[in-house]
Amino acid sequence: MCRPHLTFVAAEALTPDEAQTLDSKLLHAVARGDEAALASLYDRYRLILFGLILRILHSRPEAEDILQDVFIQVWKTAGSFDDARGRPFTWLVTLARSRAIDRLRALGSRQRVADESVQAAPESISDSEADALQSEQRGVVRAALRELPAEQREALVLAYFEGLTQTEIAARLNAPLGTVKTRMRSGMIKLRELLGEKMKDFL
Amino acid sequence: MTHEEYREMLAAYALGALEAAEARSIEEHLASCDDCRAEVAEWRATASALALSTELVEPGAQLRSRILESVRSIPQPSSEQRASASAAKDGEPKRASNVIQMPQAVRWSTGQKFGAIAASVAILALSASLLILWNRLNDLQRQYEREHTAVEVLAKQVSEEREIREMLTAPGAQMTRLSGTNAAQQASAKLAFDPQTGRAMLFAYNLPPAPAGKAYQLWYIADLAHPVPGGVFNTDARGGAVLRDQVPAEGRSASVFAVTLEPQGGTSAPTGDKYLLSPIS
Repeated sequence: MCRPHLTFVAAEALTPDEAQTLDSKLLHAVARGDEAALASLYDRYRLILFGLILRILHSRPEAEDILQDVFIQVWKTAGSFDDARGRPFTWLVTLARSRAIDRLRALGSRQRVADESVQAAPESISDSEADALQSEQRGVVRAALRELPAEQREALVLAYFEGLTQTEIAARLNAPLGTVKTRMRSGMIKLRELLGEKMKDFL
Repeated sequence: MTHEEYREMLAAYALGALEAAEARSIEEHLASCDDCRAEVAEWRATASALALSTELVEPGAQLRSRILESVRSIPQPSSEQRASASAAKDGEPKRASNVIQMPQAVRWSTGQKFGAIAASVAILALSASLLILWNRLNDLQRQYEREHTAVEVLAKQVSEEREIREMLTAPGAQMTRLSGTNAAQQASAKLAFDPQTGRAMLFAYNLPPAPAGKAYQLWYIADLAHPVPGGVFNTDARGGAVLRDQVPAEGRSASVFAVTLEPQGGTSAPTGDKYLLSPIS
């Protein structure tokens, strides 16, 4: 009787492929102005994206502000999402990370202090959310990061979560720029290799 | 720089770790290099996997409705943009805007707006300098949009709050409760109505989503035989709605209020079922 409710589909555990198809349908529906589809994307991704943004900004109010900003941006730009150019997961995460880093830079280091209450305990996750939360993939990524040599991991983490450029990382670590570049590239190559097979349906 | 030198930098580019000038130079290269573009997409997926290493955290409970409320006032991008996107899928040459993948996803999207411009650039084979200028313009445009949106959202919230406060504190304002009929027993609504100015605001809750092609319409009833048509509205995902309305003069003596389901766009006399109704005295 009413417009199709993609929402209900999400209630079952999905394979990575099904989840991707669902997410890309949701994005296309959002592009047509379907608020319920935006709500479903929010329900599916809020925990991951909020965790990511909070990890970058260390402040709940700032992180909530950015999460809202991200979904407003999803609303406005879902029409430009193109399945041929990447997965919905990557699209959403890239958007959230870049918004958070923009805010981090705008705030400057003065604000990096923060609300220490953010040291989050792992949340309990219902099964209905499990596919978007990718619990298996989360385990794979954590294991892969543990396997990276510490200095490579450090270079990736400083760039991705603190928004530092290679030059800034070199200054922070008091290491030659060339060394930082090599660590970063080797770290990415190694990470891609470690994630490789297990994540190929996902990334 | 050579192609190989660019390739070496792609992983760092996807991590967002290049200096601004380096990133711009990569973007220029990507515009003309299919291989590098494909490789960047892969590196970006690898970088995004890092997000999975963070804790899952629950944001504040009110954020969801705040987001849905704020997008309601933001129209979807013009159909012209979507038309051009589907045209590209139909086998038109890829536009240069599609080609340039910058670290922020936002950039993929706003790039599309300039798709048409970029296409002519390719067709006319104009010099690379035009592309550089175009990138800069994009950067500025994006920055402007970002800031502009934030300001707009804030301004809208402030003016909405002011409007609600004014409405509720006006000397002659009345508050009426509407209850769900058999068609929607869970539904309810509050109507603030100022007969002097004719301003009205309806806050509805738990209405079922209107079927395609239908919408809800508010009626002001002074004479049961001739309801005066009010505003037409749709609900959000949770069945909530806020309708601001200006009551026509003939509806200001109304003492009964109803909401019916009507064809989208509304009608001049009710045709559909009643979903909400105020007490009839």
